[in-house]
Amino acid sequence: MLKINTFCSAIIIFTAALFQSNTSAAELEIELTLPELDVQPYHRPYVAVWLETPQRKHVTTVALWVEKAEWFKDLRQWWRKAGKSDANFDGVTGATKRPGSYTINWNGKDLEGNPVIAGKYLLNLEVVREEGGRDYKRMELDLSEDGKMTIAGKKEFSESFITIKAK
Amino acid sequence: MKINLLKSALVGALTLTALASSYASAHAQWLVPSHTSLSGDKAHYVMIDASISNEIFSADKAYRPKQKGAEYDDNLIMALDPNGELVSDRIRAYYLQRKNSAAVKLADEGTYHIAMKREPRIMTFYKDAQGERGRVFGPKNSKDIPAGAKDIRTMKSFSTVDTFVSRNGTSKPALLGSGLEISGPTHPNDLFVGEEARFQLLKDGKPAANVELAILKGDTRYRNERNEVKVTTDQQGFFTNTWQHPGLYLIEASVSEDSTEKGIDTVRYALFTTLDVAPE
Repeated sequence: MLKINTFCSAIIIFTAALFQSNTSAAELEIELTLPELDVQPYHRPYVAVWLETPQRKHVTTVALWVEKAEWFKDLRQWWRKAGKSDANFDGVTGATKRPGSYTINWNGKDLEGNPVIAGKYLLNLEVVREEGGRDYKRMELDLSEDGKMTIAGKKEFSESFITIKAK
Repeated sequence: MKINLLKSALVGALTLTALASSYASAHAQWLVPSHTSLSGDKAHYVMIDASISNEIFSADKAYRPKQKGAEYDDNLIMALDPNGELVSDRIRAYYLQRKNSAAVKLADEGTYHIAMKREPRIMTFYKDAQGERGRVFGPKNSKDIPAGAKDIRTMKSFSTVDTFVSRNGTSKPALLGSGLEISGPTHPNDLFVGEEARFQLLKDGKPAANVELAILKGDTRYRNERNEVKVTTDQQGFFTNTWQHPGLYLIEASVSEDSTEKGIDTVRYALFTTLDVAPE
């Protein structure tokens, strides 16, 4: 009986693995707003958006807006969880941006193109500006169901929105 | 026999505690790195300041170069690279009256363990004929010890004054292997407010159990209370701390033991480790 149970669950796990291997759980649409700041000098901020497991292990980086590697360390949380690793961020890296609203689309896949499976994750948003401040927010999100969330920044990013489109 | 052993262990522990507390008021020594975490592909320099002071991380008294009157000392500060090798580049620490400053090149990627390179110090304590306490730097036969002195006790003291810096990623820091030092599991360059760090205190590379440590946030000049956090290592030498505020911290500990070395009564080990805690 025990053997059969083990066998059954093995099949279930195997099927689940098969199912998950080619389907990502959800897509994300992130509307991020970088505010106009009346400061001199103004440098465009470095921005990182990434997903972690609930245990705070890096899953994938969704967007990275940066210039020089020398300052990557100032994205303190992103640097410790993702940046300092050997991962290749080329596919999600872009130039820094002027103040304005931007839409970041995530296709549900990690940096190596593997689908990210359904479940609970932590979405991290970090914005840091040279000679300016730093804003960091981390929030729980469930990739198993549709949802809409708001992230309030303190200064370096304005109220921003996340839409989860589960598959 | 067993009981006797246990007894002497207990007595030893008591002596240890008594000594530890009596020397706890020794001046703090510290290193302050200009950076603890660096990124980018090219080699970086990090600036290390060293001083002896009671106001933590406010410089007060520099270490004197070994050669009298010298403006610098190339043998004051050492660094172990991410592979555990001693950095062979010259580390020139300038003597600046109240502090010493040195630039250390981080040629490799990973974590550097940077420390003061110091010889053990020998001090002799005594009571003179009038019963006044005194201390000299040197062994029992030092000529500065007055005739008729009593209760002569000689102490050999090893201090670890160290910090950690990582370039383009972290690696398991190399151990000094002698004296007191801290080791993982938490990486010393991955400390954030609100998170619990777990370290193991080692003495000569082995776990140091039941040792009290003081965790002291720097900039004591700018507050009235020192607000140090006291923790004690467990049987395997582990201790934990959850950081309340971002900033530079000094981890202090001292252990004193009876010595088996001829002419030395007590051996004392002290620890002064600087750690950098980031805001969340």
